[in-house]
Amino acid sequence: MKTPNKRYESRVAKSTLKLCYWSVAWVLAIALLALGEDFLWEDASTVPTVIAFAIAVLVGIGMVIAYKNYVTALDELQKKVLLEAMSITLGVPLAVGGPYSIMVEHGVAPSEKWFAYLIILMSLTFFASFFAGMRRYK
Amino acid sequence: MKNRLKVLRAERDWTQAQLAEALDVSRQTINAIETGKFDPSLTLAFRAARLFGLAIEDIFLDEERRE
Repeated sequence: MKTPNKRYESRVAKSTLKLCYWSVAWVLAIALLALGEDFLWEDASTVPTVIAFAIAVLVGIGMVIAYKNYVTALDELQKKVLLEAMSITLGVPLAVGGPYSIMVEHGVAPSEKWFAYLIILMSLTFFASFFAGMRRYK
Repeated sequence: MKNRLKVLRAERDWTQAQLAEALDVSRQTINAIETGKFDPSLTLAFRAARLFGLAIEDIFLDEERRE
């Protein structure tokens, strides 16, 4: 048999790298939108803020497409693991977010930055369930 | 699902990595199939059958039929 040419690994590595680039670009775009008013242009200046928003949205769309291409590059086992991790990631915010929002309404839980907490929760849930899934098939 | 993938691979002196490259999947997938943790799709099963020059039934064992 011929020496492996790492075809599959190369394909996945390329799509992973592209996903990383788009993710970093998106983080920078979000930073531009969040901090632009404070450091780059005048306060309450609508046009640069709207432009920064448009950039963030466009880069976000690029990131989603890169993620879709990444998933397409994976083989069927890794797609299965990813799908299971994503389903858990989708379910946990629903299970936790509902009760949490009621706690916010009752004044028991803080309401500020709840979206950031949600993103952190989803990220941690995704990584934990993804790695658990990969270990199961090791 | 029980299968003869490991035996067929050993007969040809291939590593899991080599078989994975031939079938265009990860080595982890080959290991999972060989240990029965993961059942391949029909497409992958046909690809394996074509690679080994065998029928699918000669590689993957239908346990219900055997019973």
